[in-house]
Amino acid sequence: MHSQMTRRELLTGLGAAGLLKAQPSRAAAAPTAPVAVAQCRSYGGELLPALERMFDQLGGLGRMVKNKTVAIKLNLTGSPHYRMGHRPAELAHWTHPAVTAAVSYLMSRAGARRIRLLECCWSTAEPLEEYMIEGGWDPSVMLNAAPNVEFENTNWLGKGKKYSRFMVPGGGYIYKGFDLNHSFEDCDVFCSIAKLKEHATAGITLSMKNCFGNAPATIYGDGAGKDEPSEFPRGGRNMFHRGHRQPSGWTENDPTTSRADGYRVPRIVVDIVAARPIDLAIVEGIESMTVGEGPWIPRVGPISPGLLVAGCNCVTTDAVGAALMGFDPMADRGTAPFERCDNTLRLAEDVGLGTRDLKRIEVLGVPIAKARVPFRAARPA
Amino acid sequence: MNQWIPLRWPADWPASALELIKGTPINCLVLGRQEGLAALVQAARGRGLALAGLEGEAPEGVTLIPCAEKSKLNWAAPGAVLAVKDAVWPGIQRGSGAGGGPTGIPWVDSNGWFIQLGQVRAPNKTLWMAVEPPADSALLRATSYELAVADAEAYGARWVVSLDERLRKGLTAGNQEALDTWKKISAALEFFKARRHWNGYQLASVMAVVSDFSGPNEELAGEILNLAARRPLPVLPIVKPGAMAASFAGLKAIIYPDQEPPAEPLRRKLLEFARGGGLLIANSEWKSVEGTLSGLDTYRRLQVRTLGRGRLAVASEEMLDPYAVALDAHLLLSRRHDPVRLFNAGSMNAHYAVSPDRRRAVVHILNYSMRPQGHPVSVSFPARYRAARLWDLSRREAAPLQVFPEPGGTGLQSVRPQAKPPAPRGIELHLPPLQAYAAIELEA
Repeated sequence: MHSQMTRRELLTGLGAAGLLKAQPSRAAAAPTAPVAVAQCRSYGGELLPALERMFDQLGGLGRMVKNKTVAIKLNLTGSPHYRMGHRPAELAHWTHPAVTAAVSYLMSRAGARRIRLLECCWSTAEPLEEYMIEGGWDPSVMLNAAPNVEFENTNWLGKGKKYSRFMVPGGGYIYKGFDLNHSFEDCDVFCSIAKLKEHATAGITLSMKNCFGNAPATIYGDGAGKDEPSEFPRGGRNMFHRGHRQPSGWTENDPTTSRADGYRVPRIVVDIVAARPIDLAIVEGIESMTVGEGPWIPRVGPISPGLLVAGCNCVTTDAVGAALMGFDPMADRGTAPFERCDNTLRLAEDVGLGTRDLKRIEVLGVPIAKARVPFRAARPA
Repeated sequence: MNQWIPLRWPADWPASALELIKGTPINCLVLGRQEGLAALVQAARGRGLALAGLEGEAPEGVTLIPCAEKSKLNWAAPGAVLAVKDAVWPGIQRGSGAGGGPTGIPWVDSNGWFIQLGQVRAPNKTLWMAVEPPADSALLRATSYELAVADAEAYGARWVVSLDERLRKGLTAGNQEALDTWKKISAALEFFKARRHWNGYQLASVMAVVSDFSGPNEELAGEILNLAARRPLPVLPIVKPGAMAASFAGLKAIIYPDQEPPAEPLRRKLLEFARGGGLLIANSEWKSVEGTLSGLDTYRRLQVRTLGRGRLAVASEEMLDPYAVALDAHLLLSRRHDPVRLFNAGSMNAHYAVSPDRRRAVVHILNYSMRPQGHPVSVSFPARYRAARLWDLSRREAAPLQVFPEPGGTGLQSVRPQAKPPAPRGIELHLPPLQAYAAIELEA
């Protein structure tokens, strides 16, 4: 692949690079946190002990979730009817329900008061449970994992009375803040369970990119209202990709910046994660897919990394996740997997969310070198 | 007449073109008023072909087939055949977008829902879909014709075979491409003729619409059938005059979309259905006092009441949007009751019918894009069939399909040691790439 930067993007990118150079201490000062890595070949009996061991390595779930309400953002991207070949979505692009169930069970056992599973269901306000059934799942697997599991479709107002406002510290790259479903506020702990996979626009889909899907389509979707949110969600978040319009009731910081998705999407991901921080990042890569984030991307193929990654800092976790996929988290635009986009990890590091420098990240459990599964080498011919 | 397989005879074809009919299942010519008819009639009769004409355009001396728009059909007209003048040419509606992406499903034009309604209104009659190919024949392929045949035949109707100008001229000129298309049309007709027993199978449905399907209720009630089929949620039409005699056995939900409330006996029967554990969804004029408000709603469009062991949901305002009615009904019932589920089937409809003894079933898969999807289709059923085989229009032998356990059910175990594992569910089938049509035959 080759870079398809426009002159404008190039200049903007150089500007950002200049900014980085001007603030070397900020990247160097970005916080670090340990990341646990486990090999796990299946969603069967080995899954629960593997996750249990990882959480113990991170200091135990109890200190994080005891007597707390936990919100877990799943990754159920695209229509539930889509499959890569005949593979069920959970073996390709969706967070596997067994992982969600196991995490919910362990959190409940560690004292979590309530666990709310969240996802913006594609272009619909239907209940999340119905969305899962449509995808061929039995939600009772998750519902029965703990006595206090709830579901919420966050693509609209849902069960809340109003949207919750989250402002981006420092003003944000693209947006100053976001209006999200109440569930993102009505929780003490926010957890992102993502799939270990590539992304056609952002290079990688890990715990941070998963939160792109926090944004409700009633405000950020194709059918969003101009001044007020629409009642029901419709369409995707093309305004995030193309910047052709503004969200309901919001104006972005500088509408003259590049409209290219490779510029916008990584920055918006960082803005969202800065506004609604991730307390626990989990990346599920037992079974996954190569090339892109869903079956609608051409030439995708299966891959079985057999990996689980978890950490309390989303940037360090995703940096380790990227390294496990065979990518250099320090890579800049033009280098795999960021051939045509900016590196989300770098942008996040630059605003002080966490370090992407593997030399500064303590990896617990299986070393990266031993667990690495290069995604590009596994791409279909 | 029920066995007739009609061809709309092109006015510009000479009688000698009857040679093309030889060896095909076509056994009826639909004639218009045209010059030189006598020679054609004589030649056709000599070949044992039936001769018919559609009401309004039929010449003298042929069997008259009553023909009208859907809303004007006389269901009690004499004869075993009724022709539908405003049937749609099946396919993806232009501009609806069949492209890839994590998008919604494209809008398709199909006659399936109306044929199913017709079979309830006039069970002893055969419907003919009198629709001609679109004018811009450059877009027509052999698969377009196969789909036109399948969209009628899979539901138990006939398409009045009608050829576009390019094909008509190509056939009389002996053009090979035209002859290949003709062979495919003939093979499609032959395929369904050999499987007429499928027409005796019953729609596998857990939901029904009770309506008079006429006058002010015609559009809403009909479109609920049409749009529910795209979810895909097969919905059984029950026409009101016969609703008192109709069995509600096996149904889990009934929609009563008519604005005027039903007569008292039918009202009692519908309420009894709900009290027995069913879901009854009624339009706003129901004026319900039965049951107790449950606090549940679907986007504030329905007020849901608990009634006995079931539920009564009454529209807060007059139902106007058939898609919203189908959506609300599907959500209130829950997708866990779906008789069939398809993956990667954005532009496809599935018509799932079960034999009276419930030991066999067929699922007709109609692909309105007429080309294989980017990813192959998977089909899952909550029912547990032990064998499955796949037919397409070109096969003399069916291909066996491997039967897999549904992955979302038996494949997942509960993580809680004390929790009950999910109950075993159904099966899943993996289909090869599909063109316009395929049928899955299932054995219990």
